Amino acid sequence: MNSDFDHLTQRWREAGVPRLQFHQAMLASGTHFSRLTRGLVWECVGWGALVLLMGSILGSQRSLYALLCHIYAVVMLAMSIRELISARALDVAEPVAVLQRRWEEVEVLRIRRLKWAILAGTVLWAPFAIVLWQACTGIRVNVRGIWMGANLGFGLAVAGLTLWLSRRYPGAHRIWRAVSGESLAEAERALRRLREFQE
Amino acid sequence: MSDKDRFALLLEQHQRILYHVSRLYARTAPQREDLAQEIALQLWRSFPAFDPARKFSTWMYRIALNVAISSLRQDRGAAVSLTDAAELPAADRVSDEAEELYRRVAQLEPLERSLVLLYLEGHSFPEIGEILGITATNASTKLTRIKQAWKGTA
Repeated sequence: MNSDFDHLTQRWREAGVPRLQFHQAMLASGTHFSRLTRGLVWECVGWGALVLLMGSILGSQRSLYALLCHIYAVVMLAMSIRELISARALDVAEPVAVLQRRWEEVEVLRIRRLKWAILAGTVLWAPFAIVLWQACTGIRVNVRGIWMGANLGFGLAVAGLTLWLSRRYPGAHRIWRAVSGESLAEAERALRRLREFQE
Repeated sequence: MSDKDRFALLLEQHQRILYHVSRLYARTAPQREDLAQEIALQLWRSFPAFDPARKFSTWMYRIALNVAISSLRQDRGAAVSLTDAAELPAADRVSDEAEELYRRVAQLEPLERSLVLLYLEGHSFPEIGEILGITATNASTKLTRIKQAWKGTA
């Protein structure tokens, strides 16, 4: 087989292509771009609701736990809004290297947020449960002694569950990769390659 | 002529772009079909923003390649295998020589794949630069390097 580049280029240009068929069903599913921004809008709504909830609880409880949970929700909301603004600024008709670099930057932000959401979440779940319990029942809980143990147990359970889920479901695998830093390293490598491509 | 009719006509005239982009960025036949559909849908959604004073093929290449490369992000690390061409039904295959090119191009990095595809489709370096967002000189240099690397492996 002749592998001379220019000869193959000539053969390529002479070759015809098969006819493509399009299906109406695809119209309902959306594109990567629309799914990205839609997902981020829902995340902002979720974090916004948590900010409001924790804010109202903080108003009545005035506890350190409620303050920590509120700060966590506010930081996560701010990070989600930043991602959403960056994602909405993406224009699919931009030059390829430009858009891909900007998209990869959004991806880096997303992975970082996911990682911190999970890591901080494993520490803050117990204060969150206590704050919520007190807000719902009005009964004060003194769990100073078992607090650390519960956190540790939960952290181990989450790690075990994520590991198990990552073997079963590709989506969970993505979460595990984000927590371990694997996804972030990969996204940063991709971003570096994209920048080099434009140089 | 309505926007829908105009879009359908332009898509029909530029089917070659859709075919090649989906061939080079998706591994299996169903994935290629899905990718072509997704590109067509994104083109339709972006069509109201298309400036008729500009070249349609440049606009279409940008969107098609952006959608295709972004779809790879969902499945990082996945490369087109050397056996993929053999999985194609006979009716979907072009000449053996073109198949060899498909296999070789599919092994390149996503942006390099775009560069080679645009060159193979006969675009000038300034056009390639405009589609990819790099200078014509940069496009030419990168292509020369790719050609040299291929000669080394031939």
